[in-house]
Amino acid sequence: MRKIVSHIGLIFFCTVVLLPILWVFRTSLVPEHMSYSSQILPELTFDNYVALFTTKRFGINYLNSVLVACGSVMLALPLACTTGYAFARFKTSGAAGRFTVLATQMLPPVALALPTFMFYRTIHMTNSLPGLMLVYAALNLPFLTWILMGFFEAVPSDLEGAAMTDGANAWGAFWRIVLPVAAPGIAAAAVLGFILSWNEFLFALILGGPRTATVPVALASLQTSNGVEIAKVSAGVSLAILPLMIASRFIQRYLVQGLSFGSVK
Amino acid sequence: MTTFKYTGTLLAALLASTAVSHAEGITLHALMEDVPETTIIEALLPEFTKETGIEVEFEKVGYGDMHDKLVAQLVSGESYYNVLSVDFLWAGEFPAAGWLENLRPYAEKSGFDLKPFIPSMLDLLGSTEEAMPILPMYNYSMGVIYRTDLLADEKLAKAYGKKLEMPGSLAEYVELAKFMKANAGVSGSAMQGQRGDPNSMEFSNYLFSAGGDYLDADGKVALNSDAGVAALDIYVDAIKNAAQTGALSATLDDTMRLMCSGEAFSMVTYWWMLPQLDNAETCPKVAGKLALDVMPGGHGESGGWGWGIPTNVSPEAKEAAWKFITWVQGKKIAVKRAMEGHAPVRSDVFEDEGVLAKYPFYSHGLDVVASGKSFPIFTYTAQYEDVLGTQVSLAASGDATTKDAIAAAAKGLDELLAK
Amino acid sequence: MSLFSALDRRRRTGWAFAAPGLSALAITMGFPLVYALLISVSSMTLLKPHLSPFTGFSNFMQIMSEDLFWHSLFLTVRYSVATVIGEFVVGLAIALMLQRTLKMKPVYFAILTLPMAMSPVAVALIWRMLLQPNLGIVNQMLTGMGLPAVDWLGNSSIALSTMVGIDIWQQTSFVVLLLSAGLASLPKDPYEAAEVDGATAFQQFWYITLPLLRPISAIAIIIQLINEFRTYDLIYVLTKGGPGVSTELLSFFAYKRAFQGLSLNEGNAAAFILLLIVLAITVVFFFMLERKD
Repeated sequence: MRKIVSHIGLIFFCTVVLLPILWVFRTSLVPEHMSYSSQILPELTFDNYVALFTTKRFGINYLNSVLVACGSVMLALPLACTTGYAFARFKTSGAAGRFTVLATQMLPPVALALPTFMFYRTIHMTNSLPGLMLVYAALNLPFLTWILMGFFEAVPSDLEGAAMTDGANAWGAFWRIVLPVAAPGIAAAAVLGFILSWNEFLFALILGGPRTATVPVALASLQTSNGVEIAKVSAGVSLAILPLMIASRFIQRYLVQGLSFGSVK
Repeated sequence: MTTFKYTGTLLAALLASTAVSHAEGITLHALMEDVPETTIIEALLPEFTKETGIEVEFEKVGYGDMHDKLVAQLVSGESYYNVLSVDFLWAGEFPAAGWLENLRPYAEKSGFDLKPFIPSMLDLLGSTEEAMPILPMYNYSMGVIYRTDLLADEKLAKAYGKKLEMPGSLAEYVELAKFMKANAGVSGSAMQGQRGDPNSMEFSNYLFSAGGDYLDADGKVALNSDAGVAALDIYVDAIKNAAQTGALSATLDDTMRLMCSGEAFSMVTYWWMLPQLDNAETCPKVAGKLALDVMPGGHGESGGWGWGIPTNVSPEAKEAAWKFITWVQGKKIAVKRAMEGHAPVRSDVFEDEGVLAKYPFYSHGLDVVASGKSFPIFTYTAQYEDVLGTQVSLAASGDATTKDAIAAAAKGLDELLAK
Repeated sequence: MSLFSALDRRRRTGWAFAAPGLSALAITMGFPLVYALLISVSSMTLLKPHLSPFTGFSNFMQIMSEDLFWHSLFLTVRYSVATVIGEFVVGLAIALMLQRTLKMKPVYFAILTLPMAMSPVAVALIWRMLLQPNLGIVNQMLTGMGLPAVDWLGNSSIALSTMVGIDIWQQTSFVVLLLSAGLASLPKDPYEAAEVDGATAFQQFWYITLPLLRPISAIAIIIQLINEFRTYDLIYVLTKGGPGVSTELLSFFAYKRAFQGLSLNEGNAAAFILLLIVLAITVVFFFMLERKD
């Protein structure tokens, strides 16, 4: 009985989530001037997708997004692992330190955009993909540190104790014992970091140049004063969801099991 | 100490290498709004590169993103964009901040003739006897686009009692729009009432047509007048009784779609939108049934884009930028652009036979541009659009009286002018 | 003595692990943060981009003397609390239901987490299309069913609620993710004991699940509060703060002050006031969590 109620409830919420997304997908397959028609499929066309790649350089935008998102996670993840481990196991810098790390995320991006721009300008990192990767790594670092801290707290400390009595130093214990145990959680954190970078808009806009424009910037530029090219936006959004759909199975397997947030003992 | 020296040399070498790569060949970078005008120019760029060897690269983004991106570059040591496209709304702010070169000496030195440029366009973009920070690129003056088939409808004409035609005054226009909404099964006027740029631009048409203005001849604030309040009264009446549902959140996009789908009688908009609506392929429901006129009452809001050269770029880049500007605004290329739908800023392009043959309504376009009045252009224009837009929106949503809203908007203008 | 040195060594090891990450953070985020703070107490505008002369707290005073600021602040608190409560309640319900399903779980889960992958700009553009008052599919369906069309974003009394709804639609997916993870790691024993004692499903939920979920719920709420207090993209695309001032949230206020009003200093001051409020709320949450733990 409870199961049936659950299924009904979930089907309801799935419909709420899915209907708008399906309508977006439908709009991406309809000519621009019919995008607001209430018919389900008045005409089928792939023009919007084709136009995105031919006249709008969406392929480059997509590649940029993938590179920047992957690069920033690869930069931030090792640092977040060691910092998160120190916070979890050694209580390094205490509650105040943890807090300061989180607090770097609390300022509205608007206030940070210009100072960041000037900083990156002086180190010649604007208008470049590595520069954007660095910014996203910096934005990811506090968030990932916090998430990973939870994973490491969940790893029983006896494991390291045993390794240490066998003669391993702290680094060896971390590298050989803790990391493998926490691997699913780390993978899950990587996916979250990827999503964070994948969706970021303001810094990509201010720091980027024409060759470094990412998917959100490309989508926003379809909103022109001649009107919103909503069919192309829909095509772009449909493509932008793809990586997550691919990663979804992966997220479930690792994230749901991995994100145990140690304090729950 | 040695490490210091070492890094010093390294830095110097790095700097030198970037300097060399700069000198090898100039590439002009421009941040452009993603609109047809930009695409039209972009298609012609290879010609320019062939003539001069100068590469030009356009970065196209949406309007809302342009200002911040430009400002970030202009306040920094050296701007990445070395030729600028500048909206007239920034024509007070950018020169006041000292970001733009004075183009008059450039024009004198290279003998570029400014006479064919429509004077009101030069004024709009801040030109004076001594200084010309911005050279006009294209105009976006506003007029009214309306449905001729509804005016010719006999049943409607009978119900109206008077002759069904586009009237000559603002009050009559709104009466007609209300009549259409009540009787023709369409919205009388597709209105863009979203707070900010959309509604302040739209309201400006109402203000000018009702005989009001933002500033008097001496530059004093004249908005808080009987005409100002009357204009807002009519505007609020139009939003409530002639416009579509949801007018207070609508932007140009919404009004265009409404007009295109045949669900509106008229709209106050940029005059060169006509060919986009009068297009059998994209708007089959209204193609062939549309006309353009000057805003009823005689004066619409006039706006435009122009070219500028930033001060924080190298002298070579400035020279190259000027070469590009004179090329793209010269008569030859301007006519070529007009044939593709460019909204001219030169009277000789408006009068060009080829252009008129292809687009007969361009003769009306010249009237719209020539009769246009301008939003007040000063350092804080962008902020003023928001102040005014907020008050207009408050009045239209019934959260403030028109008298209070006009008084607050006038006071806001006074304060920003004094800042 | 040896106890002391062992402690000391642990501390040093901890700092050795944390050092690379913390120094990277100090360089990449620290510099812009400090610079942003300096701007907020300086006379820097876009027209005069120099920090000096410093003006102390006069920018803060100026901002706080404005009615619109307090209006935005109040609105931001209302908005954030409403969205976070909505996301949490719906998210918890979904997570609990997900836990009871087996075979279909991956399918449900995949669908329910989809909105997470959309950038807020895209979400706003899409909902703008769906909710378009005259031609949008939502109103067409309403009128098709004989109901009146709703002016979702153009009516000053419902525009904010519409935005809350859109935000919940997107952000709940993240809460579902976190809470599912939390539920998956709950111990089994308390439930078995409760079954033996004959506790009802609701009693189990109220006395076992909720308390055990508290830490992760707190983390989810903190992360979402930080996120919602900074909401900007949605307003930017959907309403620009209107109609009137009915959706003018504080981050939009700060943005306008900095880039339209050209007063970087006042814009940053408003941003830091926002930061202080978020900080205060988070600190309260954080210590409630630590104390009970």
